[in-house]
Amino acid sequence: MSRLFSDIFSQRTVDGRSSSTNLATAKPKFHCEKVNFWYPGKQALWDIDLTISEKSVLALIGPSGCGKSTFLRLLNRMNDLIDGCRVEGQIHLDGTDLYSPTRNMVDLRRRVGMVFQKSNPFPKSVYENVVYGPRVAGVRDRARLDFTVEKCLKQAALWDEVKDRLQSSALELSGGQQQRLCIARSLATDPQVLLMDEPASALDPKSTAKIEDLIDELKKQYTIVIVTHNMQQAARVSDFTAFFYEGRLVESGLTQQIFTKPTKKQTEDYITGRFG
Amino acid sequence: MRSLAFSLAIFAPLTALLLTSGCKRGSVDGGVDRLSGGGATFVDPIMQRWSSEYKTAKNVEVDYKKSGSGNGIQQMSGKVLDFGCTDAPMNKDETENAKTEGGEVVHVPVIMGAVAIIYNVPGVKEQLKLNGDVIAKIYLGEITLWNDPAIAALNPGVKLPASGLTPVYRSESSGTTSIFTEFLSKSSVSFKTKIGISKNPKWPKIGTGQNGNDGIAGHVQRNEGCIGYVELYYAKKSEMPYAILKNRRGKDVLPDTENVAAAAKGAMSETPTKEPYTVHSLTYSLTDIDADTAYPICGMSYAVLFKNQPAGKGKALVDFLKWATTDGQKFAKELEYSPLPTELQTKIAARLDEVKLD
Amino acid sequence: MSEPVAAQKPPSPAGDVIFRLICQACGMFILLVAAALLGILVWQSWDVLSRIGEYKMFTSTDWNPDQRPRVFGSWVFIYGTLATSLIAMLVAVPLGVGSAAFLSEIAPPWIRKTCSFLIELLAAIPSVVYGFWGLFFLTPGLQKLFLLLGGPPNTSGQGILAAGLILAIMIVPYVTAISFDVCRAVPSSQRQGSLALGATRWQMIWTVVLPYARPGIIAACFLALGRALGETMAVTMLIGNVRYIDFSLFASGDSIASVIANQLNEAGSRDHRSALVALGLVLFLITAMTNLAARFLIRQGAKPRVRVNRGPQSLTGPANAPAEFGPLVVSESQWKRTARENRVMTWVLGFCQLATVVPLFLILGYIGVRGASSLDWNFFTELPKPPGQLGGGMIHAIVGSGIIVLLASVCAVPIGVLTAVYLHEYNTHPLTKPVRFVTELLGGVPSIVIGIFAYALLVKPPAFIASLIASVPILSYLMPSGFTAWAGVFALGIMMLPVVVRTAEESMKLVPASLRQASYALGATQRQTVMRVILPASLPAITTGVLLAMGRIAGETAPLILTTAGSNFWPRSLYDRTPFLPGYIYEYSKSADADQQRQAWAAALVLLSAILLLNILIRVAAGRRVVAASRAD
Ligand SMILES: Nc1ncnc2c1ncn2[C@@H]1O[C@H](COP(=O)(O)OP(=O)(O)OP(=O)(O)O)[C@@H](O)[C@H]1O
Ligand SMILES: [Mg+2]
Repeated sequence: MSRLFSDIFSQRTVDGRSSSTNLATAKPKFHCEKVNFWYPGKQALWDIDLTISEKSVLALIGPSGCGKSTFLRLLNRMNDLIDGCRVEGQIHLDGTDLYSPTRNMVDLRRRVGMVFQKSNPFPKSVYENVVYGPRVAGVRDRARLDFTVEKCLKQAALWDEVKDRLQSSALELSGGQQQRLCIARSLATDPQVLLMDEPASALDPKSTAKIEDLIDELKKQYTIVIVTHNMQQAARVSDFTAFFYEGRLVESGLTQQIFTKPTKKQTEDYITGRFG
Repeated sequence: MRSLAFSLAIFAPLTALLLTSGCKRGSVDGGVDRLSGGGATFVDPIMQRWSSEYKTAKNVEVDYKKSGSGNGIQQMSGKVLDFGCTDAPMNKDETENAKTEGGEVVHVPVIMGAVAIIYNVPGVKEQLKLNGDVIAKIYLGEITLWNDPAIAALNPGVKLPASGLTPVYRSESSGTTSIFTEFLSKSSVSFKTKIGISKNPKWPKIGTGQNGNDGIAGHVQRNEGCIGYVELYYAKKSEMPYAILKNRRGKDVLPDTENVAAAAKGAMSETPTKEPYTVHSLTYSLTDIDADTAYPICGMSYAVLFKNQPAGKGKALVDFLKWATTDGQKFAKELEYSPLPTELQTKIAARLDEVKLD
Repeated sequence: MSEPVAAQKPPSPAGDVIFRLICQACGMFILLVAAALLGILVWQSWDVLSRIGEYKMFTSTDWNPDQRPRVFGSWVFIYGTLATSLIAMLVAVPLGVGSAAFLSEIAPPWIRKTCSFLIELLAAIPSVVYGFWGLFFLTPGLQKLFLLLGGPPNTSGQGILAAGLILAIMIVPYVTAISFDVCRAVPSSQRQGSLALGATRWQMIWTVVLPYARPGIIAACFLALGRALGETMAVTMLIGNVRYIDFSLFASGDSIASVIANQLNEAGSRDHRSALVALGLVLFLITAMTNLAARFLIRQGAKPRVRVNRGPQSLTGPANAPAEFGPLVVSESQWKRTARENRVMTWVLGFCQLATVVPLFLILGYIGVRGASSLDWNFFTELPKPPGQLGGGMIHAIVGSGIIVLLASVCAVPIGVLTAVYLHEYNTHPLTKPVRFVTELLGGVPSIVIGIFAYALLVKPPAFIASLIASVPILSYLMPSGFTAWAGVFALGIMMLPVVVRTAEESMKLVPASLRQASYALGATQRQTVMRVILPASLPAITTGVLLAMGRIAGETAPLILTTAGSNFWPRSLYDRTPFLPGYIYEYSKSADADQQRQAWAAALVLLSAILLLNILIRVAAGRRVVAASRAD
């Protein structure tokens, strides 16, 4: 098993994909301390302590139902939409309290973009999907919108496929294209953080590769948190990995270390596919 | 087979319903009899009183439903009702139509009354004086303000507001409307040519239509600026002021039972010359009568019934009408009506004897 | 000891066949009713329709049934119907959609629950009660408003606007309830997608939720429009009943339904009656069309329609070399603007909700206060007293209403349930689709049109039908002409039928397939399965639906005025005129006699409390039971 992952890591070095050299010195973007979370009537997260560095990729792994998505959604306060849920503990974004009552949620969500597990394009044209964020932010300048569309679609590796059908329905795109459209859409607000919940779960290997390339590209500017069930993918794209199990953070650290020398038995079992 | 029985059981109530519904319509021998009548709202107050008294006295239920004279005539002609009531004798069309359905129709006067002009003028509590010409102008839409010079001239000393004036008329075919338009047609040539006598005239683009005497009374009561015409009882009940009218001899008269009686006396002293009063015996026009104390808008309400009646029900009906036109007249004054003159009562009894029972 | 199973005595195939035939016959009965309805309308209006030019039906505003030459120009009524419905839609659609958006997207759960409940109550209030309230509460207010706005001095509050507003209040619950369902059905991934891109809640509602729900909302509007077009009592009480067109907002008018209710009974000449029936046919066709449009949209499913530009597909302008822009920065003033917009619109939507439910309290309060002070024990023990004598009550009308409603249900429920069995169980039969379609159509027919049907068939049948009835002894025994309770039962039964079919079919769909399979596995036939398993399991839901439908028809007035006509005495037989409570509300409400007004308030209070109480009890009780029914395994 560790053969497989060491191959990946050696390949990463060959590809010139970013090394982890600067990671130790990176500024923390998110800082979580003793985070507990309850859905109505039921606790979903226990005592999470985790720091997420700026301009790095953090992979969240763990068996289904362990709370990865829940944790991810805490970071842009998406859970607030659920009636009757409750957060305890501290989460700081750039050193300020994320859950402070005076926090401007709209601004937060614009800065912390999110790509969902299932692609959810709006029933509008491709163009309108991409410019949705800027539009609700009040951008009216047509040239600026055009620029954004081209830039984001190129970033999301979708430009070539859709540049001649920008005005047709986004629902007519293929599943993979739709997912990349959703990524492009979240890039359009120029976020600082991008949260991705299994962005490649419904994609073929080729699209998946495109998205992984994209992540690698994006981390130069953005902090990225990605949930994935694909261990190789986690090993390929992330700088850090956090392993969740039954609502608790079992282990976190440099990806290479987690995958090659995990300190906890549970982590090793999970990574080697002995359960989960 | 059990569930088949069950499925039939679902239908049991339905079947039972159909079977029990078969019991015959109330028959005279079966104790209480019921006469079904309807029509003019003009007579409704006294009809309800008669109904209640007659039930106590003779144990016969007279189920009268007010719905307008036109309605009463049509339902009677269609044999949907046993008798109808109308304040205007049936016209040619109606008589012919009835003839094809059930033969000749008998008109029986049942009561006389006045049509009062009620109004709701902000700030005016006194009884206004009006005449036929002014009322005609109001209903022609030529007078639209309460302080119109024509009204003011008739009412020196009354402070009339400059507020709007809305005529209210009947929305359904009504004998009261017929009496009212008859009076206006006699008072104003322009009304006669533009609107004429009708139970259901085509009014100019003014005012609003209401259903029944009660509808007009209620509407005038609730809405400032309105003026309407209703049978005297409704006027009194609404507690709205009603107008003093100038009669043919130029005298100011109030609608009350004496002045109606005076009009009736005048009307019966001459033979009718105009349709439809010439067509049906015992019908009279009581509007604009030439007598000192005659109130100018009086009317008579008639019960209409086919001359050929089924034996049981016909007898009950004739008995009731005989009672109403004699003993029943004693309730008239209480309800602001004028009782029928005695000589007319005798004629009515004779006319009712002509009804053929078979 | 296990029960001896059906295998012991093989189920008789004959019973199954008979059962199937009965169910099919019920389905066919609905087709027959619909065909008869349309047939009678066309046949009875043919006199006028065939000489439409001569009568100037659609070319004139002159409606003159009594003077020769008779003309039946009906533009006054068509205009009145369209104008009042238009006003109603203009008011009700924004309010309804706004409050649906508020309930679905903004309101906390307890408000959502309470308001949905209140809206259901609002939908249950009978038309005649709306009219009565409008007469005393709405029109005086409107009159003051008219005068303030400098309207012509000669207005009472009544007229097109008053009728339109009361219609708006009446249809808002429909728009709200259906739009709410549609909004709830918008996938939450759409909402989250929008919020995650930094949209405010209002922006999310406006740019994502409402566009996604648009087809469903349009369907809701069509359904509501269908109701508004056919509404009778409230309109006839408020519209002013005049026979001219005046395009002013302050003007009085008349509507198709109102003129039918007012004149059909008194129509003397054949062509007058024929013209009124022709108007009924027009109304029928218009409402059928709006309802079909609604059904079509609903059937299209929840799929949102994508609005796409047909223009150039690629970027316009210097597409290949767009200028460089820095990262998106949102200015402080822009922040404030969106935040303010969000705040303001949240209030606006909340206000829509408030404006939707406030009339309920105004109506309940007004009728409660005036009714309570008018109600006394006599009301429940005596018959009406003649004018001038105080006291008196309406026990006979309460009983009469009860009898008519009960009998209508007794007729409609078996036929309706068995039709539902036919639709659900024998759905391979070629006529199930037409039956379902016709049932839906029948459900949207305005009550006044059903009234015309019953009137023309039972009360005053045309000579041909009359002689047909007379020649068959059993028919003349069952279908006597004249105003009868039976004719009213017939009309209300037909109004109930589609509701019963719908609820029964829906609740049978909820019965889990496992139950049915278990029954078949034990060797039961289809009939046994239906009668012993499926119907019992869906009984609570069916009962709920039937009770709600009874609540609805209990307040019906227009069809009963045309059929049973009312009476001042105890209901005696199905062949007599029969008293009914809503009729008295209508009749006494317009009176100027304080005593009669008092009686009308009392009657309105009694009717309203009975209906609302029924609704409240059902909703409190049914919630649990219907859920239990759907989880029968
Ligand atoms: N809206 C909710 N209300 C109540 N409980 C929820 C809700 N969403 C998730 N849960 C529960 O919280 C726990 C964590 O769910 P979460 O979606 O975070 O899991 P996950 O790790 O993302 O799983 P997967 O890999 O399958 O996506 C699960 O037990 C789930 O059932
Ligand atoms: Mg998940």
